[in-house]
Formats: sequence, structure tokens, C-alpha cells
Amino acid sequence: MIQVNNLTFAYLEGVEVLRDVSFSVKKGESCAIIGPSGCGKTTLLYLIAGLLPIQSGEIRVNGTATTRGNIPMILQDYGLFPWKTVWENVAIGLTLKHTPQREIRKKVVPILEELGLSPFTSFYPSQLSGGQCQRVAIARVLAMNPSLILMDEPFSSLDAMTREHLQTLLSRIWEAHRITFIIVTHSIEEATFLGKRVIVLSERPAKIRAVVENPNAGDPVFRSSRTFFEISTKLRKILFSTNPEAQA
Amino acid sequence: MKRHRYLIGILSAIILFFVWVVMSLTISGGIIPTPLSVVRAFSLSTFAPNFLVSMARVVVSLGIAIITAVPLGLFLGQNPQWDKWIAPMIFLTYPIPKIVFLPIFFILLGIGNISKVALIALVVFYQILVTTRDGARSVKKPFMDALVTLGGNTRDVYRHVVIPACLPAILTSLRISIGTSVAILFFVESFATRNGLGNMILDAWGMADYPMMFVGVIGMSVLGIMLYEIVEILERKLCKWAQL
Repeated sequence: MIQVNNLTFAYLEGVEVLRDVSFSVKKGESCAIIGPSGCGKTTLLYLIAGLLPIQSGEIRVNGTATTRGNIPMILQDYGLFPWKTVWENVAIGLTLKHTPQREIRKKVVPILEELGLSPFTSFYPSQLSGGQCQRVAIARVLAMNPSLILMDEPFSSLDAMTREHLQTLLSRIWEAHRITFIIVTHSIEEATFLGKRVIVLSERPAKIRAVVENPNAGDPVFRSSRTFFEISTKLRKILFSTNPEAQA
Repeated sequence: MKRHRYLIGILSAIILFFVWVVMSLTISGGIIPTPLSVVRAFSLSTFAPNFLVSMARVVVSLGIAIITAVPLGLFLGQNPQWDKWIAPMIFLTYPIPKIVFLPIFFILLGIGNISKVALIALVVFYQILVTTRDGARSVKKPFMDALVTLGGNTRDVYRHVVIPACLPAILTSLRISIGTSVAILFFVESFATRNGLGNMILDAWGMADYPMMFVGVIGMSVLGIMLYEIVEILERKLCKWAQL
């Protein structure tokens, strides 16, 4: 599905952000990318989305080079347009493709239903809670019927309970729609719960420190299982292995 | 809430009316006429043509300023590489009181409506341009990124992100511009013209016909309030999200 080969990226000021990053994600698989803050996780996601130009290395999605506008992304904040209602926000991807109104209706109505947003169609984002906003963001990418979704710390500004609810909802929906996704997060538990494959990045310039296979990810009961804690502990160990003071 | 607003509006009008009555009775020489004498001096056949001419001048000027300043402001705000060159020019010419160019406008464009409209439009152009550009500059990048990942191109980014994000700022600048444009209107109508509210006021002043002068003053005020209300309505319709 997605193949990242020897990706290296530096900003114009000469700051190297990514060094020789290679990994792959299979179709229908979920992948979590975790690393210290500022390590270049978001940059990696932006490169996959085509929002930044590739300088060296390559990214292939279904065998072809990645292009912008093809892979929807869920962002931490600012993702929803404050000047559009819930309905308009969810429909925007289809509107941009000049989909006829009736078609939009047919697609958007069931998605809003599925995410429990039906009563809020005419609300503006500022009238919703943080959790509701992110559900709208999920609905918006779902409406585009994608096979791959990117998420940049989608739940980091939510309270712990809402976050868990949404993580469960997300894994259920992605599973049902058979969507491949890559989620960037700085939360170890989130990575453990959502990523069937967890990629641990090092400090900037980010290199891949480890790839942890985590086949039980996404299962609601997994969260309270022994393996969950084992994987979390393993990830924590890898993350802090060269940075002992951060552990203290 | 809405009713509350109207009540306050009516109350303010009543208070202002009383202030006017008190002033007309205490200030000697009839310089401030009584409301009744102003009503008597009002005649639709002289007021209406002057009012309509003035309104047309202001509306056309505002229209020209909006059509030119808004797109340019959006473009400069979104394209720093161009703004770098244009910004110093705006910065240097912005503080010049543009009304001092009235004689030049009269010479270049004649003493008809074109020069009047052009001067009002020029003054308002700057106000709208600077506000729009600053608005377009501060549109958050993630909004645009989000739209691009959903399949939007540059035109879509303007249509769905930049313009709606800047609209409150544009309307605010428009509101400020209305006050300015009516003031400039009075100025341009005090020279080389035989119609318009400004001319009406100065004419009446020359003949010491203060009630008639006040008809003109009230006409100018009504014009300002009317345009202001239109912007208010537009704002409520187009920027509902910003008022929540």
C-alpha cells in the first residue's frame, strides 16, 4: 500500500529533520509513528500527504509516487473550517470534486449518523466540544471514501476520557471501512492501542529506532490486557533508551 | 436580545432628539434650528435628487474600492514575495491625506462626477486594502493544508479558506470606510457642483437658511446610517460563525 524508501529531508535553513527513513504499511494495516516532540513526525506525514516536496528518497502509494490532494489528513487543531457548518465541513471534500448535491447528501447523511453527529448538522465548530469537533474531522475524511488516511496527533488536545472513546470509535470505523491509516502521536498508549505496527523515531534528525509489531491493536479489550502494558513498556524503553534524563 | 437592541436604539434616538431641542432653544441666532422648522424646510422635490446623487457617488466609489482593494489585498496577503515590493509603497503613501489631490483630480478627470468618485474611492481603497491584506496574511496555514489534503487547488483555497476567513475583517474595514466616504463626499461636493447633499448644505449656509442646512445634515446622516446598516446585515448573513 505505502512504501517509504530512504527518505531524507532538511528545511531550507539547513536543519536536517529526517534521515534515511524507510518503512512500509500494508493495505488495511494501521501504523502508529511515535517519537520525541519536535523529532520530525509531522514533517514525515506532510511528505506523505504531498504537502512538502520530497528532496531525497521516495514515497510510493499503491506503487505510484505520492501527490498532494489524494490522501486526506486529520489535523490536531484548525482542521475544521470555523466558517462552515458541520454539514459543510463534512461535505467539503465532495464539494471540491464538484459532486452533485444529491450525491453528497447520499454519502454524508449516513456518515453523520454513524458518528452521532446528525443533530449537529447546522452547528458551527465553535458550538461543539473538542471531541465532537474531531468526530466531524473523522466524518469529513470518511465522506471521501478513502483507502488511506493520515492523522497528525488528532486527539492530543482532548481530555483522557474523550480521547479513549474516540480511539475506540476510530479503530472500529477504520476496521469497518477497511481503511489503512498512519497516525502520528506522542502518546505511548495511543500508539499501542491504534498501531498494528508502531514505528519509533529518534530525536531530530529522525531515524527509525525500532519497528514494533503489535497485532492486537484496535481491539477494545486489548487496552486492559497484559500484552498492552508489555508493548507500552517496550515502547517506553525504546523511546527513552538514549535519553535517560527524560525518563526521570 | 434583538428586541433589546432595538429598544436601546430607539431610546438613544429620543435622547439625541431632546439634546437637539434643548440646543435649538438655548443657542441664540437660529444657528441650530428647531426640529419643527427643519421639517417645514424639507421638501421632497429638492431633497430627493440631492440625496440620490450623493448616494450614487458614495455607493459607486465604495463599489470601485471594494472591487479593486479586496482582490489585491487577498493576493498580497497570500503572496509575501509580491507584498515585499508593494508594501513599502503602501506604507509611504498611506499617511498622505488623499483629499489634497482634489485639484489634481479636477484637472485630470474634469470637474464632473468622475473626479469626485475617484477621490472617494482612492481614500477608501487604502483602508480596505490594508485591512484585507493583514487579514489574508494571518490566515492559519493548517486551514489551507487541510483543504489541500481534501483535494483543493489554489482557487479553492481562496474560495473556501482565505475569503471566508478574511470576510469579518473586510466588512469591518468597509464599515469604517462608510464614515470616511461620507466625510469625503461632503468635501468633494463643496466644490464645482450644483447638486448633492454637500452642495445643499453649503448653499443653505451661504443663504443663512439654517433649517435647510439641517435638512442636508440629516440627509448625510441618514445616508451613513443606511449604508452602515447594510454592512451590518451583510455581516449577520455572511459571518454568522464569527458572531457566536
